[in-house]
Amino acid sequence: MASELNPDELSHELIAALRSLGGERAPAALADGVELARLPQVSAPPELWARVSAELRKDSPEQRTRLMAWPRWAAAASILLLAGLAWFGGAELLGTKRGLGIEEFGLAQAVPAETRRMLIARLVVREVPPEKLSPLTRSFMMGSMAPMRDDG
Amino acid sequence: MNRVPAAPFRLAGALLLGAVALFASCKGSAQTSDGGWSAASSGNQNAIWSGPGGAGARQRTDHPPTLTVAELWSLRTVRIFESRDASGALLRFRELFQSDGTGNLRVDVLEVWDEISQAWILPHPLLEALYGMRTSYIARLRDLHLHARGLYANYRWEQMPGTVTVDGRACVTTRAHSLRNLGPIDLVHEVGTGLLLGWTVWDESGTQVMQSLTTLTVEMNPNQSSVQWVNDVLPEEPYNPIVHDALLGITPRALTYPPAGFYREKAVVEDLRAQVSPVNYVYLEYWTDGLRTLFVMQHAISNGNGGGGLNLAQMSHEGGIVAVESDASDRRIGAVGLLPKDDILMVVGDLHE
Repeated sequence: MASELNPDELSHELIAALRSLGGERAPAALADGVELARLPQVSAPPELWARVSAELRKDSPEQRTRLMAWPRWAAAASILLLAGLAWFGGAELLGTKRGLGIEEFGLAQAVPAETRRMLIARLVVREVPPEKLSPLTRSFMMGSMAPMRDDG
Repeated sequence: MNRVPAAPFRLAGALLLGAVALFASCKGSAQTSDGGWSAASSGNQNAIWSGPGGAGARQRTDHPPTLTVAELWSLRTVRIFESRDASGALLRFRELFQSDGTGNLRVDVLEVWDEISQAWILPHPLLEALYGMRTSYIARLRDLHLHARGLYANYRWEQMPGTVTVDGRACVTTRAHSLRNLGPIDLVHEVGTGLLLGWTVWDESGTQVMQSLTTLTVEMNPNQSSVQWVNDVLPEEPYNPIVHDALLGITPRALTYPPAGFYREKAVVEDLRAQVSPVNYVYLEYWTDGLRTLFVMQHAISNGNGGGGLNLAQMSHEGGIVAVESDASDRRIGAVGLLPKDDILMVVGDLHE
């Protein structure tokens, strides 16, 4: 590698500008870069090229394609799997609304069995015919929803 | 270097995943729990549906049907309402339903089925009068409606195969499977308009009809110039404790344990002063799981149970409707709903402190 710029061909203006910097020193990295640029072009040893080439092949596009081949098949099969699940009801397994029902805001949760028993046990229950209920309860039962045979 | 050939393994992997997908698909289409799910098959579309367990391919749907109810239409229908009484017998009422589509309603009972004579007979005049007094409740509360919420969380929907014809109108039946073991409900609605023309409420096991409505004739946009519309809706206001507790004479107790899947649709205070009733105001809560409705009421009483320790309750059931009432020291608590007895008892027990 070689620099395309010959330091001896610097313009007078640039030389004047550099001299105007006075006692300023260039950073070491710049000095190293200039030094490297002035080195003559040489060939790397064959052993080095062999090692670098091997490393480069690992990241080559061809190699990446080969590595991607399996995931591509897997992706296609996975899509088939998901499509099958979604279409034919396997969505239950995924917990979607088709299966278990989506959670809808504000719905009462299931009451623990022990609590249910405790609440029911608060009452002493007697079964009666509808006409034995109070007029208001009976009205709701018979007028709103159930038949009104007994009213007749 | 020895390289393992990748292609056969890739192929095997793909076939394996494909097989898993196929298995999952088959599993989905072969479920038979409750509804006997199966993928829709055009070859079975003419199968006749005859109730739970009936033959024929069924089609699962993600969503409840889009329905419109009869009171939103200008129409006149004749229909039969059936309900099973406490002894298990089916009671039948032939009804005339009229609506102008703007909120005016009238429901009359035309005939009552007499089991003894096995014939339709004219109704008792008092029954006719009661129908007139309860028109809006029959149309808006007894007749099934789809409510805003709960339809996904509480039900799984399935369109039954084939069509049924109601007075020349092609209808389909959609079954709502309760995910909380309350029993299925079939909804018969017209193809295209979604007009709800019938339903069947099954018991918890899905084997016995508890209630059903079957439309016999439909007349759209009839001449209704001579119809006397019924205005029987009691005055009611949304409950406001600041305004209503003094009128009620009690502060309504809040339900801590409503039945699973239900939500409170509204809480109102009804003014009963125009009624022949010892109660002037009643506090009412309307609960629903999307299809079934539960009413919870509380009103003041002057001679409660006196706090003697026993909360006596009276329970009655008919047509799948269960009613329970019980007196606390200062109030009567009542609950009525299309629910199992234990659910209604739990609600009333919950309101006893």
